[in-house]
Amino acid sequence: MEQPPFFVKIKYLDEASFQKLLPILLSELKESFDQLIIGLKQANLKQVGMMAHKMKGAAASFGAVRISEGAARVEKVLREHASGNELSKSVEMLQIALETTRQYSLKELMNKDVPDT
Amino acid sequence: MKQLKHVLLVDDSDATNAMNSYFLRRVHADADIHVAKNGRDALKYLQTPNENTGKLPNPDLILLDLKMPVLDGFGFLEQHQELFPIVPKEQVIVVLSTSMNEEDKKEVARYKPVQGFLHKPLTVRKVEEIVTNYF
Repeated sequence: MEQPPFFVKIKYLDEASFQKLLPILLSELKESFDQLIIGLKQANLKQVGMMAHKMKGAAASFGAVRISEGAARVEKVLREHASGNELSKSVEMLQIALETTRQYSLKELMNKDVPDT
Repeated sequence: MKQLKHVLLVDDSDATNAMNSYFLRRVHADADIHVAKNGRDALKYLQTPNENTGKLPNPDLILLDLKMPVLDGFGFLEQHQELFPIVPKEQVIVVLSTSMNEEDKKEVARYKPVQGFLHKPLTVRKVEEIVTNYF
């Protein structure tokens, strides 16, 4: 299945403004995902849900489709009370979307060296 | 089109607030935009008189997220109703949420100052629609 783009173009948002705002998104997404993982390790599903929801909304505001879809998938698995295995798998997919979008953002949009994580 | 002078954004996401501020300023360049990261901080802001004028803040528009920590959008609306039983005529609350749940829409519609329910993300077009439809 074909992957959606990392970002969809947002009307009336110029490139310079997008580049200025993007670090706020990347920083928040990392922080939210870290909190999501802490929630997962502590079996705190409320926290996992809150963080996935926050990531979905923030990513959607920037047109970061892969991340918003990945976060929505985590929320859906939680809503359907799916198995722990399915939850782990959805979180893993969200992590991949987050990492690849981050690398694309830094390398292609902000022309920075991508540090190892 | 009416120019908004004062907007209160209530959302726990800094990134969303930054983007929403950008879009609001594209259409309402001179708007004073205040950000609260949850319902409790928003209520606190609305109850704190301005240092210079001594008057309570009276935003034209409150853009309200529903799912937030500490005090969510529903909690905000409930307490807002108790604190401000007479809402200024020109004050409009629009819910801006990722929720597609019809029950959420019905629930927020119970509150008089809520004029609209929009789905995230905010866009320039939605900002224009808010002003055209609700002011």
